Amino acid sequence: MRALVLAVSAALLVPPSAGAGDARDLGKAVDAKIVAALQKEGVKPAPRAEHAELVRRIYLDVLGRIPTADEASAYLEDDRADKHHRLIDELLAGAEMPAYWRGVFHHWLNGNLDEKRPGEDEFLAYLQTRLGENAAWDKMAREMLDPDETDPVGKGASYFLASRLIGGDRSAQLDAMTVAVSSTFFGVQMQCAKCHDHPTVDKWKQENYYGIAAFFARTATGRAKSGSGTALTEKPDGEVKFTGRKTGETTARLLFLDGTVSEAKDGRRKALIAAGVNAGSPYFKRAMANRVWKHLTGVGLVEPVDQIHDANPASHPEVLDLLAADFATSKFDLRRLMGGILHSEAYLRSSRWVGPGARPADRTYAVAAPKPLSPPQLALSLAYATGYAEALRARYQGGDKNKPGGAVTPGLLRTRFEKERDYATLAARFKQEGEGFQANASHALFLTYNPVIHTMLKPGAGALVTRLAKAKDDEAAHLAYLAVLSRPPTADEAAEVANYLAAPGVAREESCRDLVWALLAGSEFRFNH
Amino acid sequence: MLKVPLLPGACARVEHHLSRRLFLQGAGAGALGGFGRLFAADHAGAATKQGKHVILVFMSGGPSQFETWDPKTGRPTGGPHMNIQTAVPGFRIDEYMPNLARLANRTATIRSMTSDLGDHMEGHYLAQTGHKPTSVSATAPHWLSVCAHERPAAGGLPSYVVLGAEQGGNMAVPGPGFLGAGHQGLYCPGKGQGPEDLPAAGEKELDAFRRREALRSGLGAEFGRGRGVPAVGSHDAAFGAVGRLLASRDLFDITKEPPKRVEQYGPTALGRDCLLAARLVEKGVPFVRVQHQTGLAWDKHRRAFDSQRNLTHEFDTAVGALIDDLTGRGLWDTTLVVLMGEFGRTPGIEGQGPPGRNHWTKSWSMSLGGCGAKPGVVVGSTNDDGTAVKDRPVTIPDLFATFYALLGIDPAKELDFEGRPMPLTENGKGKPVKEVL
Repeated sequence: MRALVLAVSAALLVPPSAGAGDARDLGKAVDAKIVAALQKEGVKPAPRAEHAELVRRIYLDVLGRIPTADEASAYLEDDRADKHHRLIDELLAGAEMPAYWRGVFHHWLNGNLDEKRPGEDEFLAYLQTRLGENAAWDKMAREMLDPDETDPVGKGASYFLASRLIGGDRSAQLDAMTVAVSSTFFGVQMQCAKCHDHPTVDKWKQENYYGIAAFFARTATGRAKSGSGTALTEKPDGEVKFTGRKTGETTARLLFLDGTVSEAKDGRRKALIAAGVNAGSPYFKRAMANRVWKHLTGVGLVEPVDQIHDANPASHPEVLDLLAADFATSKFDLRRLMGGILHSEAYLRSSRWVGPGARPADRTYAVAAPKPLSPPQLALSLAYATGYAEALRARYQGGDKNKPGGAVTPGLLRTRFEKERDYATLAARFKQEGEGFQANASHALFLTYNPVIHTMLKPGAGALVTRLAKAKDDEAAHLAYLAVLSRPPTADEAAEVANYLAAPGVAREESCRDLVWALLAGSEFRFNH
Repeated sequence: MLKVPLLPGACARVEHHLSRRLFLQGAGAGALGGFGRLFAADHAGAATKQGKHVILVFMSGGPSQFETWDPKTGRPTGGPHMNIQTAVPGFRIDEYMPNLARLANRTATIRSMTSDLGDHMEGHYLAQTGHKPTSVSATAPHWLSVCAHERPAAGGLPSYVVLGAEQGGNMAVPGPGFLGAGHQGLYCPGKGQGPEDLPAAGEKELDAFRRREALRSGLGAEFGRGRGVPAVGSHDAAFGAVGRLLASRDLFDITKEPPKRVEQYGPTALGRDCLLAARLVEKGVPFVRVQHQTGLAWDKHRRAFDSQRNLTHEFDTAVGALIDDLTGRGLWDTTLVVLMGEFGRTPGIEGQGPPGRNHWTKSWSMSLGGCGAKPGVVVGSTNDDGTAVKDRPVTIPDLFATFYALLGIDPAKELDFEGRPMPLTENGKGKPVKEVL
């Protein structure tokens, strides 16, 4: 355990701030409100999840992968009562965190783009750097809306808007920018209001959609002043016009969601930043608070995450307000927001409901919702569980003649693996569109027969299958369970495994492969629970 | 670009699920014994041939009624397309649908559809579940999931197969909703392909899968205790489905079809999928949903009229061949073919730049046929410029009641969800369109 903690500490990018305790207090404040709501309903929440469940859950949620067998054992052997809090702080502060979260943010910001576009790598590098620095979210939003082309890192942020200016005609480009900005930064989805006044939100008129669009009316791409590539520009003129049902053709004003009309003395996108990207505006802080909450608990306080409006109230408005206010006063500190949620008992609860009564709805937070692993979580967890990560590490370590490989950190392992074709194949198959998870036979077919899975289950140095084949029957179950499910097997499970491995007629290596597959293909692996 | 505007109510988590206990009893009763029943699929065809089938060809994006079944050639709203005489006297349709014109005396057409959700995804949801996403108290199932629930396939064949999907997840192609994962359509990626990653047929694969699956479900049983949520249920149900597929491997293999049959459907993705749909129906799969292109192909806001020709042509070729093929194989009388999108398009030729039409829910068209639907009827009409329904408005609940009536399912039936009655159509309001029955 000590060695592990030291290893992690050595890699700390962000020292645990003096505010680490405050994040725990934030968690407690959240809990008070959730518990009050449950008491009102007369529901007693599920107890805290077991140690093995928590170590797996925290690794998955903070680093986007399951713990290795060693990491899981170290946690399970640690007897300190607050070890989960310590693990949360360590992982949040460590170097691996931004390598995972850059993908999460990329998905939030650009997940609706159907393909990779030029500048994506620079954008991912930008996100990773800023998340590593624990940059404030408002700073990042400003950089994405109004990139500084002279900042070698910051200019990568221009992808967010520039990627919406590739292909399509002008109105499609304008729509793409408007939708992306209002959805991610402000938590509202105004596509309905494009053609008519919003059907369910009285205060949103057609003018509001075009009002946001107007901030981007002059945004275009041009040649970068320094270096190669493109840069965002703002043309000196250009207006958004729309035809209202009653009003006829109208020139859109620079109208923000709260009704503020801006003048654009220093440029239109700067005007949007002034109107919306600040601690005073409810939209900006709520949007991110709700997204992070949903990512970690599985269920948004407001669902869908970009429909935060009066006609669609939060399940716990006071929790959303609390998180949003704390986020703003902490100067939009993302780790503090994450930490506040992760340290709460609402997050740490068991996902098992044994009664009394029927399982309460997920949105009560009385019991944790089992979350299907996202494609990035699934891909990396499969690689770690099978030992395929070791094969990758060896390959990346080698480098080549001209470029000898350096140390392959877990973060580097992830970012390199993300570029592999196998990763893309897997991610495409498990991509979730829209709300509500449902597995289908094609998922099961992939996990059973796809060549990517076969590659991962191949015997070799570091492969779990090979280690199991060499182990005794009673050790094999233990090794397999710890590597795949981050826990030792129960006595019944160990017996069932020993029984299977001892059955005649199947070669040892094949039955070991069956065992690894059976655990990988089980619900316990497929879900973060 | 596609966002899913799920509104409150639709996203309420459904705590109903395929009972794990029930699943295990069914799939694993007596160790491997349960598989015997599931894998004995070979006699399925005979059993379901007596039954009824549905092939739904979904025209995502909102097909223009003006450029399909309700042309207004020469009127200010008519657009540049001409129209042609069909096999039904006095009934004319778009010039690029010669096959559907020839077959119009076998199909029924409704020109007076009227609905009220003009957003693509909400429209998809309404047009495939019969419920508005805002008004459901539990996630509504796709109507073909309802059919799969009411009229499951015999002998372990999939009851419902989905060929291709529109982007947009459970809104674009609604899942089984409160019916649970067991009634989910089996997804195939389109272009005539079967499910991805199915291994070669053979007893050896089947035996190996049975052995591993018994281990998988045995070791996983404890995890499911107290976690009987739909997501977890759907994961385990998916492995049950794999076992059944292994036993009926050539079901999806359209390379087994003679080239002449393949050609008739046209060299398009839709042609392949319509052919596969016909093959599946012939082999006893009762319900098939076919996606016509992805990316909201019929959503012609701009540059509508030129590009529409190609789209309509491939649609007409594939669907015409499907109707001919089903008729030739004696399946037309038991197979309901439904051709529709989520709404229609504006009478006004609007849009910026090259002209097109925007979304329109007030008055639009669709077509259906087979399975006893009265051939050659044209139900309802719109006014001269197509700006409103003139007579006989048909709502989506009415349309669904008609589908169910044709399939011999009582449209007034209520399903049960946790003790609550769940009508098949919104508030049980749908009345079958008698003219079609």
